[in-house]
Amino acid sequence: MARIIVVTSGKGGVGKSSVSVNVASVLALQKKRVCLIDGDFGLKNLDVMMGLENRVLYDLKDLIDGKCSLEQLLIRDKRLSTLFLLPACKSLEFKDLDTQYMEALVKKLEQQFDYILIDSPAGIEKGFQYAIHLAKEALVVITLDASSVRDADRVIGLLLKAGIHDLKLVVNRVDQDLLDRKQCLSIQEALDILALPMIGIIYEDHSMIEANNKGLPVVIQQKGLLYQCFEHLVSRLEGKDVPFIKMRKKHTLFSIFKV
Amino acid sequence: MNISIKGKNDYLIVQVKKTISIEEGLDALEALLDKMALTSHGFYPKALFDFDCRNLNQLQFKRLMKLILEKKSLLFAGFVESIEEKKEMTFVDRSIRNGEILSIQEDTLIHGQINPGTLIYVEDHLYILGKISGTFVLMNEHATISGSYFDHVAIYFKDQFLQEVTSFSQLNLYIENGKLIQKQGGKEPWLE
Repeated sequence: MARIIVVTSGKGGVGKSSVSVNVASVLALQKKRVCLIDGDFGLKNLDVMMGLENRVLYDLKDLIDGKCSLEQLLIRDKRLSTLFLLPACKSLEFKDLDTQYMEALVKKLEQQFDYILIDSPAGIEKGFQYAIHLAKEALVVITLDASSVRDADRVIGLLLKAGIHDLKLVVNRVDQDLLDRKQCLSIQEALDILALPMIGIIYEDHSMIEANNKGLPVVIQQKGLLYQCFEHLVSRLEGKDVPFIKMRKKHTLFSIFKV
Repeated sequence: MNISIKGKNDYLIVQVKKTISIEEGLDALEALLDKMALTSHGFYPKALFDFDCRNLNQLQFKRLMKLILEKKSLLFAGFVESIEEKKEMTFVDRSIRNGEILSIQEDTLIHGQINPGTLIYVEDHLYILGKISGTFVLMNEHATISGSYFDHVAIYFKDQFLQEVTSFSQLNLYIENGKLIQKQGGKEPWLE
């Protein structure tokens, strides 16, 4: 039976999709069978981030209309043979979605995969409600700014209300310089408000933007700081006790002579 | 009847009405015990006596004991103690999160924190054990808030407004003569 995890945040732009793609990729690198569901119906982008845009032939609507099978709908990743994407589609509206149908679909997927990750849309409206309806666990992604933490707090309340009690926090886009200069919330401040176990700290790195633009998950190379961050996140997701990575301070000439 | 007998669990409760004196009650009890055979299969029932919160003096107590010994109808099990009416308190064992709107209509204890962005309407006594942020509206003169870690809290009462209430020690907020009061430490003023 698969673990069904929704990746959510409330606020847009905190990196839910990046976290979804990279967590799914690391799991697949560890030979786990992973299905990544693009829950952002209407504004699909996981296929772009995974470099699978041109391979999306069918979408959920085609499955619902009986134009394709589930096997035809699922897109196998180019590089990782155990990673599959269930793409969203622009045409599909929420009123077309039958909850019971989706529940049956997820039940079918549960038998085939070890992990089902649902990338939730931003906001707390119908798309979000629909995404959390299917999940049993949640990864709440935040950045270290007050509005992201407030929105996450709201989302956590809604998740608890929906009966999802297995919640974990991922702090994304952590800028060590800003933290050192105390120009953003500290991780402890965010944890104090949200009171959830933290399973990942992902540092800000422009290689993430580059990777997303290239359609190549940043962890694929299996090296670098971000890979380590995601690998540790996945280890904690699987219940292992792994220390958090601390970013080394870069000592430049400017920082040495800075007053 | 100035005296009534009720069965409760394994006891008989002998209740003397407060409209008569204790002596009159003991007279009525004597007459009642003469008439009634309370033994059942050789066992004597245990009786609790209720004189409606009145204390018996030594003579009255002796007379009661003598009565019980002479009549041999029941066993003395004691007096019914007056039980103070206890007020129920609602216990909330979770944090209140951003966007939640709560209405506190009875005494409530929150075991968790109140996060920024919450709105709480208070109509009775509210006690909070965790860190407190958010906005509170006291709905009447009876409403109070008590906690020990207030962090930039806003409190409203009618046209009065306390902004940025911050405290790292016990703080009580209540209404006195129509005014919103915050008092540091000590016993809750509404309990004094």
